[in-house]
Amino acid sequence: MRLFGLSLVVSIAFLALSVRAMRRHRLSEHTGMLWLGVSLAMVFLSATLPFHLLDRAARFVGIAYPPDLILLIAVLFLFAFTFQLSMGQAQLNEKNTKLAQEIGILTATTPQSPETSSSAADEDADTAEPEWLAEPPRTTEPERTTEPQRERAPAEDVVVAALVTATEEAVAPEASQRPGRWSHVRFPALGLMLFRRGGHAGSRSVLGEPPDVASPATIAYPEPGRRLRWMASFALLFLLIEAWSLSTPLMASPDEPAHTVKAAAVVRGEFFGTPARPTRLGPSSQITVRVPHVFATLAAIPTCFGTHPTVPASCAPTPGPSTREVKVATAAGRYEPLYYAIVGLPSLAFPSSTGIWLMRLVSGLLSALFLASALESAAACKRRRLLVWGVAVAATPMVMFMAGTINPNGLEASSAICLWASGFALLSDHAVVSDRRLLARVGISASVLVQVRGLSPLWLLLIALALVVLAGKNKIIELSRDRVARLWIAVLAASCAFTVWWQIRYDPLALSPGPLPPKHVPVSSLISTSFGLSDAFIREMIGVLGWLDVSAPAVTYYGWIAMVFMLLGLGLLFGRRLFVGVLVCLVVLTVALPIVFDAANARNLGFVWQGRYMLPLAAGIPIVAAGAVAKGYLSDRTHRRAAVIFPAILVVSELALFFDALRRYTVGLAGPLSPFGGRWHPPFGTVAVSLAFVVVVVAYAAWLRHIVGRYPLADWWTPADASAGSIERAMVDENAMNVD
Amino acid sequence: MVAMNALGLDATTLQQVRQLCIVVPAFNEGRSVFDVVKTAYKSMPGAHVVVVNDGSTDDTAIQAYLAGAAVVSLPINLGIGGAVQTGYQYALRHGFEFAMQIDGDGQHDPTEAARLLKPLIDGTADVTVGSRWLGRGAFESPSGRRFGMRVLAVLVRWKTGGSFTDTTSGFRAVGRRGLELFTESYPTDFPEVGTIVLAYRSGLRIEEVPVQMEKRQYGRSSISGLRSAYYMIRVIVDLLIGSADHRSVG
Repeated sequence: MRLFGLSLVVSIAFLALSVRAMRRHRLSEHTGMLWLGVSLAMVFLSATLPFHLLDRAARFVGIAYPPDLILLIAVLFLFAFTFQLSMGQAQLNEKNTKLAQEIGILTATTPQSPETSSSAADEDADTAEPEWLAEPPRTTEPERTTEPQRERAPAEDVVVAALVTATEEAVAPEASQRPGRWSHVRFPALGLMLFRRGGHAGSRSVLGEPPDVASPATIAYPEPGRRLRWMASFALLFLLIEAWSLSTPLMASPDEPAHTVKAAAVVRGEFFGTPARPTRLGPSSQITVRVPHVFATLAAIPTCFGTHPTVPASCAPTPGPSTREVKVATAAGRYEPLYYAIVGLPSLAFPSSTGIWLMRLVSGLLSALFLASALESAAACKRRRLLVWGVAVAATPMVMFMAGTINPNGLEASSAICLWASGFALLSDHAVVSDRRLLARVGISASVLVQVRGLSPLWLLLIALALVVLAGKNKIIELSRDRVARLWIAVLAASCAFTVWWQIRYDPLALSPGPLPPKHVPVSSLISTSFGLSDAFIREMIGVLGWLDVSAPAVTYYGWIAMVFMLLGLGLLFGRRLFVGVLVCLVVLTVALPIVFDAANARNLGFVWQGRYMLPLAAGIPIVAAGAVAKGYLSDRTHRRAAVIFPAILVVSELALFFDALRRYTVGLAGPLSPFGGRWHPPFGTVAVSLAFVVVVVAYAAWLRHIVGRYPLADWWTPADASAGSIERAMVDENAMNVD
Repeated sequence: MVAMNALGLDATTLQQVRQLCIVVPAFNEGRSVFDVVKTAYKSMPGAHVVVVNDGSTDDTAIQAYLAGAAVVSLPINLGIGGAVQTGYQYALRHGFEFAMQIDGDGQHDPTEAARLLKPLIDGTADVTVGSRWLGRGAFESPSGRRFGMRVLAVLVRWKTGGSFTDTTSGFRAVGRRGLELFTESYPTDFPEVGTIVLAYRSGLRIEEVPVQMEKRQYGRSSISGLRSAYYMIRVIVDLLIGSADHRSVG
């Protein structure tokens, strides 16, 4: 009886499986019916087990052992079925052959030119040949009406050339790396494009000098809304940063007084100042500068609340306007002057707290420029739609917060994000290398990044290394041939040279030591201490605001971590081996570098590392992970889901952190739950700033959704759009794929 | 006016050569295909050379292209039969009168092509097959292979009633009728023997022409060792059983 039940269950399960497979069109109707019949027969056999139908049938046929009857039927059935399968396979083979031949003939290439063949014949033939050579073979060719190389539209020529080149790439990559190998392809393609775009004359725009009329970049991505899209991104990012800035009291970000003093000094011509007197701990890393008195009082502002999260910010003294110049020591004195020279400008006109708010504004403006450019580069990367989310995840609340206060860390992170995204778009995507805007973004962000903070050159080096590895040799060679690219490389080299000179001369990495661990502590416990801090480092990259006193609430922290891990998972799953390698390296570096740094310097500096220092490199994780997922790996449904999940998490995380931070400053963490009605108010009032933040963050998330979905990839290659531009891009794609 | 040139082409032949499509099936023949194409152009000036790149993994396509041939690249390897048929399809679609098959490995001497073409131009044959054994030049071949070829010749004679000395020769030319027939139906597995039987059964006139063949420049014959024994068996079985209704691709 147990056997009866078991066989019945198995047969019904099989029946259900067949029906399901048929419904989902996994089986063709023909074979589906067959398997349906088989499963029905199984159900029938097992259902009739108690009635001994099988035994009777076996006896009737003359088989002594009834199960043998089933075996016999099964073997016969399988035999017949396999036979049928082989016949089907033969049919498929024939169809396959026919298809292959059709494709071969359809994509056939014609000889390079009629001259090649005939002149080859001429030069090879004996010169003493008789009269028939006097008649050039070519002259009679027009008689043949169906001659393939005649009556061919230019566009078809391009297709043919594209296919040849694709074949070349496939069969002989080394042969195809000849200089100018595209010339026979690009010239007709570009010529056609120029013609289509209303007759901008000039076929000279391709491999050599940059054209005046239409750059290849604009041709490659004919998007009228690019500038508008950039401006909208910029406006939203700027407003978001400003909302963060307004909700943070003056001097309530790490070392803001020191950086403000430095900025005020630099715009007054004091680029370096004089080193401060040695303290009892040893030679001081501080620098003394002369600034208006108002800046000298700044250091006193956060003392009452800076590290006391329960105290509202209202206890802080207000710096009064005073133009009297005093000497003041700043810990940021050794930093390079670029950031400060720009941010400090408002302090010249307003040496007051108004001026400091304006300085924050300028700082936010700078970072918003880079973040908007990063978003725009990502949005232009149409084959990698996730890249926009990668950039959005890289721009953590911490980045926005730092950008909105006077601290070069925000600029460092945002320029690094721009470098990652634009460099990725330029080198790893299938964009033409000569995209002027991408080149400019990469050039500017790299040149700025290197000059921002003491460790910036290291980050630039690592980012550049990662991008070069991802790009591959061919792209780099292509890049080095581009005139504009060379120009930007020269700019970057000059910037780096300045940085090297500054770093050797002024040593911005000379840090003031923090509390030192006791002398007798063994190295192992130094390592384990810094190891234990790594969770804090990750938190500090996402959002530990103020003087490290406002830690991100769990929803922000885990929400952001979840976004990073989603992208990382997709990147590791779908990325090519190269991407996976780079990603793994980035993750390892991001986790290990702070530990190594802290453990190595604990004895003379203390545990001074903060997560935000790592932001420039860590930003590469979501960006590269998102970029690793090329078009076609994810279904549209997944993309739609991403366009819901990422904005949702982003909005919730930002809001949670924002109100947590706001509450900490208005009423203190020990105060009531509502941030409204506290003793400290941001400029324009708590309600106004909160409302503005909610509106801006929702608009930002919606905007991200918009630019991700604005140019659906399905539109990228439609038959109607099969213009020369698309063809050329298809070729570049082909090229990139083969290089992989 | 019969002015003969050094290659043995008279003026009418030269006119007809413009109607000739030379089909070069090539599978990983990157080392020799360039020379084959160049020689083909040299010996048959004005002919159209199409290289059927049968899913090669080397630089066959680019070498053929550089030599000035039209290149039909098959996305997958179809085998010699499928490749040659593709060439015939190409020739027919582009309106050529004659097609000639030359191996991509340099074994066939394109300068002999005129001999193959002559009966087609004269209208005495629809298919011509270059034979190694009909006198001209001594083609040295291992005795085992000679024996196999003899057996095949006997079998073909038995099946068709016609006498052929070199049934495995891949050096052949077809006229319009042959093109139409082979475009529609072509035995994919053993085309050399199978096409002769097929053409014979379809009422085409087949003529063997003595040609010289060279040792292949590069690569190995696709038929060697144990595989040749297997090849023989399959060809014989195919001849005995399969020829009644040949598997056609068309």
